[in-house]
Amino acid sequence: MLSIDGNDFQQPHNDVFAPMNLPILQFKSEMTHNFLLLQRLMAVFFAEIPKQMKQLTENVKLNQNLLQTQQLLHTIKGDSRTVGALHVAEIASQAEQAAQSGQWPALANLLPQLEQALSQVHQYWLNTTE
Amino acid sequence: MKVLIAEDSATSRVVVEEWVRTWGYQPIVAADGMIAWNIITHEDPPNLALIDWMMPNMDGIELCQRIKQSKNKNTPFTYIILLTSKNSKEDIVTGLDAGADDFLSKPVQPEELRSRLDVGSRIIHYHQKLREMDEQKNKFLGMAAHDLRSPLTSIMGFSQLMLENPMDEKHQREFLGIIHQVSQEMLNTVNDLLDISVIESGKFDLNPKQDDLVKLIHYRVRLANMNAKHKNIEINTCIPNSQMLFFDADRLGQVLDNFITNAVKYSPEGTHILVMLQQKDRCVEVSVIDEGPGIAKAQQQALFGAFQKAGVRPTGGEKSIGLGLAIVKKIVESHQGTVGVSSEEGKGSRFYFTLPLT
Repeated sequence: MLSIDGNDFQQPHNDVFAPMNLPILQFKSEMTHNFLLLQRLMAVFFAEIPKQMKQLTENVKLNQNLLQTQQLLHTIKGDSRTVGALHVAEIASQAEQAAQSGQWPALANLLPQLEQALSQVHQYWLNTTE
Repeated sequence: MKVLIAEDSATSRVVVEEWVRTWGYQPIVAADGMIAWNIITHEDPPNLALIDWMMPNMDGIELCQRIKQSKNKNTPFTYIILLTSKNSKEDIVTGLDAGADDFLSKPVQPEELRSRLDVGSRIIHYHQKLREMDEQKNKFLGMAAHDLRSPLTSIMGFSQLMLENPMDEKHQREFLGIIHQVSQEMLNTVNDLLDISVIESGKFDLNPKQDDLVKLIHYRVRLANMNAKHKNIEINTCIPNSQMLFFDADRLGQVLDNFITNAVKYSPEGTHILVMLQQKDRCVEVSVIDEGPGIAKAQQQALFGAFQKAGVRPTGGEKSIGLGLAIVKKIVESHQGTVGVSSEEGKGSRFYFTLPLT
């Protein structure tokens, strides 16, 4: 247990891996030293994700707005890396590449995986901070 | 110092904003390129910018180009760090060609970002300093040209009068006297300009030797007495018989001349000037004390900078370019001494310099 800024905080166990062998959530060292910042960061991350996923789902369903789809996936990839959700970042990266080459069917396959990985991260975060 | 953070990713904004604030900067965030551009074109914009490449509405490349091409007088210079997940050599070239001053690939370590921001901050500081020096140089040139034109106009006017009008010897001598006097003023100005030029270029050399400072003071006071008499000003001295020191007599003569002629220049008629030499702890202090109008506290420190003049005017119409005290300061400091002034408005001034005894 670490006591940071008056809060008890436990770094998630690094032996919990998603199917791709990437940690579900691995905080950067500078984050574990500033729990308040980490809390704010995760709050922003989970607040942004539903809006982005909703727009992505709609775009993929209608096979439209390829550039916006690409940008959204790029943002999710970057944000996931920032919070340490490496498994999510990997799926977002694959989806971004699919969007770059206009492969809507591949995107349709990857989107549910992305959704599931995000849900895992959310659950994991909730368990960690309980 | 303000730092613009142009970043569409909310999480990156939160992290970078927190870091930047921790490092003592003032973060200003923008969620896309267009918002960032509006901030940059606003009054009092940030000089440092952290710009993401891929952003909606206006990407980082276009934002860099716009900032560098803008002629906003509020932002003469913005130091841009492109902070992006792009990292190929081509990307770096594209970013720098667009006007970025630095390029950082994500993920970035906070220590690296802080040191890059600090580099930007230093460059902005140097840039501002250069701009101030450039402004000072332009002011310098303008004042020098003005101070040379005035006596030249007199020389041309009086010589033209002599050429065009036959006149007796008395008038000829009078006009030649005026021409001679203003030529002397011009020569003084040119000498001051040359001295400042030598000082500024760092080629200022002294030729010191063991000499008697008291002898030098007596000689310079005798010279100044001629002008002082015109204004009925009496110069008294309070100095020992001899004070041997190691100094450049020509240059220190310039310092004494400057202090004493300034005292004469700014003193009302019928007043007194006192030149004193005192031995202090490990130095000798020479003071020139006048009964002139005095100098406001706020102006005293700036007096020893180039082209600085106090708010008071010479009492006998004398001319001054305002370089003298800057030269004096350099000469005295080259002797490992100090210069200073103590004065109160309406109660006269004391200009002094010290020289080390050893």
